[in-house]
Amino acid sequence: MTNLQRWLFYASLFAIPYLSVVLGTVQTQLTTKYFLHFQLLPLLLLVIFGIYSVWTVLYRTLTFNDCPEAAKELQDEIQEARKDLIAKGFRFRD
Amino acid sequence: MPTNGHKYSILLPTYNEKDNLPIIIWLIVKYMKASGLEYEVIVIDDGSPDGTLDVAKDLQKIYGEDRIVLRPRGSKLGLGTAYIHGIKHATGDFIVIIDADLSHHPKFIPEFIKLQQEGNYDIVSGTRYAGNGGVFGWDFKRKLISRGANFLSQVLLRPNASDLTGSFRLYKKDVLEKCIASCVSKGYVFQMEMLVRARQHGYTIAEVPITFVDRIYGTSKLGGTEIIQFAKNLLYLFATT
Repeated sequence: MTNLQRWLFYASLFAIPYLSVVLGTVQTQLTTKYFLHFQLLPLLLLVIFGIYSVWTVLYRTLTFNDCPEAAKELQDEIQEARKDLIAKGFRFRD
Repeated sequence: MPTNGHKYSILLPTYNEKDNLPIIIWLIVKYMKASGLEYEVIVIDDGSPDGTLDVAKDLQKIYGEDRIVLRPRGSKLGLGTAYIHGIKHATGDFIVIIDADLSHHPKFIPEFIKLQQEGNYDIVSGTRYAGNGGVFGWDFKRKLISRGANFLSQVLLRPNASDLTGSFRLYKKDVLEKCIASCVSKGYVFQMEMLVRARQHGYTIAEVPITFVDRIYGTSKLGGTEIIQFAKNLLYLFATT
């Protein structure tokens, strides 16, 4: 099953009971009482997922490690490498 | 770590890396020597006009032809074919893929190997997004794009790895061959597809947090066309895998 098929599968698991209520095929006391809420359910789920996504991406962006010590270590090693290579007879072309 | 009976072929595709190549090779030799493991470095230069190949030849004289192997190609033919070309000439049973621009530090290679040996994993991937991993030299916007793209690919492709677009990885040789053979995309998104295909084939993936130091020499390559290409390939992989 591809990712797309998986998504369509889950969407249909949701859509079948949802549409049967919204289109009036299934009518119970509960669904009649909360009919508007029921109609808005997909929108609500979408908003929740949107908030979750934005929050997750922002949180991960702000906590992304900057690693200045890695840059410093590399700079030092570059100097060390240049000295050692020149001592071994290597000629840098810069 | 003593020699473990395996040999590691480190593939180094280059294009205009005359300044970085001596440093990256020096670093590889430093850390692989300290690990005591058997290895070779395969430089695949795509006809760089800046003389990268001459630099590589000089380095070969210093470190020996068994350590530094030169497999140049006439012109720029892309990353995927560079790997195939390198694998063909690799004498190791494991392949390490690393960028030559010094954004990937060779000190992590022995860590990859250690982890691979512990769990006999098919692939060990470096990750900027987990543990102590990270990136140096990115501003807020660059980080946001990166995190956003990563989140989107996690949601849509559910790979078994946290860093899809990184390219610093260790593969079993036959695993890499199989992953490349099933890949259809080119360029920047190729790395992402490799791990998606790996999931399809049921290969095991382990991760090592890495620090990514963005290009000390030269300029960065992420632009509008890369983002469009990324989105297109993401949707393609979403629909087909």
